Amino acid sequence: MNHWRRLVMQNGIIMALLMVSLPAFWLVVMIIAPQLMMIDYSFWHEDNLQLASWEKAISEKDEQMVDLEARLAEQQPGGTSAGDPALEDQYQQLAAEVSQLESQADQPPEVYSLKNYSYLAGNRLHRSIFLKTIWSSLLVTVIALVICYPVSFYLAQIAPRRQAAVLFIGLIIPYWINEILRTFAWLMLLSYNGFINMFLDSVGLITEPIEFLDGNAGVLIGMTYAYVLFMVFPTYNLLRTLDRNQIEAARDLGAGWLRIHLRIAIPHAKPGLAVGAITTFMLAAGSYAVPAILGGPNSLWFTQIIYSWFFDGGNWNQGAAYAFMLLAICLLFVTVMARITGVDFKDLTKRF
Amino acid sequence: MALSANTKRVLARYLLNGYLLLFFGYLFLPLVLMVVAAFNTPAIPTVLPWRQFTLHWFTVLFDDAMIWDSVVNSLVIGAGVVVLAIPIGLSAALLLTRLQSRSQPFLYALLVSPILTPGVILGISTLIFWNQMGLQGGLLLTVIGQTTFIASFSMLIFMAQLQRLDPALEEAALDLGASHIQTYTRIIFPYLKATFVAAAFISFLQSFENYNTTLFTIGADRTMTVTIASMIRLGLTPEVNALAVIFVGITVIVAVLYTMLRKYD
Repeated sequence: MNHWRRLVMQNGIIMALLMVSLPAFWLVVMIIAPQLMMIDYSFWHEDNLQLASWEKAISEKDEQMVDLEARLAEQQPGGTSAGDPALEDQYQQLAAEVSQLESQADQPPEVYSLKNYSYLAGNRLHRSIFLKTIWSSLLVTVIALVICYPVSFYLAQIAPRRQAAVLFIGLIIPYWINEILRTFAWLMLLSYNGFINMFLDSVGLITEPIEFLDGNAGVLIGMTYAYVLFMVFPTYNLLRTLDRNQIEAARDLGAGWLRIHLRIAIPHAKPGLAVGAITTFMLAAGSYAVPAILGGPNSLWFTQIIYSWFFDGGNWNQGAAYAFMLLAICLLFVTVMARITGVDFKDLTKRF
Repeated sequence: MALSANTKRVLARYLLNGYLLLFFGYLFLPLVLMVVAAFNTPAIPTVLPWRQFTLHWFTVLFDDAMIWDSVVNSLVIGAGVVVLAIPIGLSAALLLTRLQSRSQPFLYALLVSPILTPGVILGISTLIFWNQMGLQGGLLLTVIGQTTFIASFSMLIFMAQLQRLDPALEEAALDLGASHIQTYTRIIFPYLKATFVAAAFISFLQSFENYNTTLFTIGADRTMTVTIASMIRLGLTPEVNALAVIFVGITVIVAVLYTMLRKYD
């Protein structure tokens, strides 16, 4: 209450109301409630046994009704006089029961259980795709880290101002171009009749085109390309704040370049590296476009399985459980990275 | 024979330069191929073999009503996201910079969390929640889904600027008899003028480029990214390359302008 009073004192009642209500709406209706409902969805499923028994009852009663209709029609061939009132009553009652059952079957009972999760654990194909997605995303993160570090260091510490500005443009151009278009560019390079195969063939290095897109290689190459810049920028931002004198001092004291990087530059860049790694891992694990464009049926990504639960399989509960597993892995990665690098959350998010 | 320190340094220099050349080649070769293939005649996008220079694929692109419809959808969604994400982001930034509560770091973490959540998850949770409320997939749901995380970006941009605002300015205005509303309209909002532009630009760009969240919330409608992705997967022609030429062109111009402006800042 005190905080509220202070906000009003400082900003006036109108601004204080806006400052509280808009973020509250965002937090509750757009962030928390949807996540909670997704988690809720992941823990229940429609009771198919109950549903089947209702459907059976409906079809039995339908048969009885057809039967009754025939008997009623017999009694009143002209259809003018009223039939046997008892039969009529029976018929009406059946009709009422059927419509009640049908409305029940429209909203099958929700059973809470871990079934949606145990399904993932028990399905060999899905489980292996899930593990592959984690493992491959880690691989993409490590490769991106290795590729990016020398570039970030050069730009931040070595490049002369003018050259750094030009190279910087060279980084933001691909960074701003749509992920789908950048992935498509790699499709042109890697496909069966693509540039690399055409090139190797024309210089006589191969006789048969190489199938880059059959396995995971194409997906990994495309992802590294698509996300490496998310690693470059945060690392660059931190390395730029490293005082050159520190490097000079280390060199004067006899440290070799490896030692300078391991003991001075990398520890200094840690929060940037952590942010880069978290972003890259999250983008890779949650990528849909890259595996959809550069992958084949043998290189399915976990997001593609999730998508098919929603739009091909029509089982949102199962899809929600899969989605929650993906979210859990990403949260775990954030926690582990924060622990390893000793960077706290607030410091981490300042780097975006 | 040991190398002299000088030779070593020269060698390291060559290695580093070679590496940089490779890296920027790696960044740009795919883009160059994509652009060049837009001007080649074969119906499958390719540079090799080179047949003949043509602008045919641009006329195909300009006659393609489906693409332009989806571009309009993307623009509408982008505008909607800006309209929501700017006030939400600004008010959250004000709240977080002014709230002196112990729960502030926790609140901050919650409001930043959408950035750390994969886009597909945001799309899925938005779809499930609003479907339950009776709202089906489409443009409106996409605006809601995208705003969930774009508001976080907008908030961070405003926060960075607000932390540099001298509190004395505001106090002076209030002491001199300005109302709270006047303080905002005369001091704080003008101070944030450039930040509004930056936040709106970033929000729009994020929305326009978004695919992962949109994929789940768009329903039967199409945005530009959805259309491009489906063209690449089903029925690929150099029309996509022609579109890419336009985007690469715009990006190059904006990137150069941005860098020049930053230098004068």
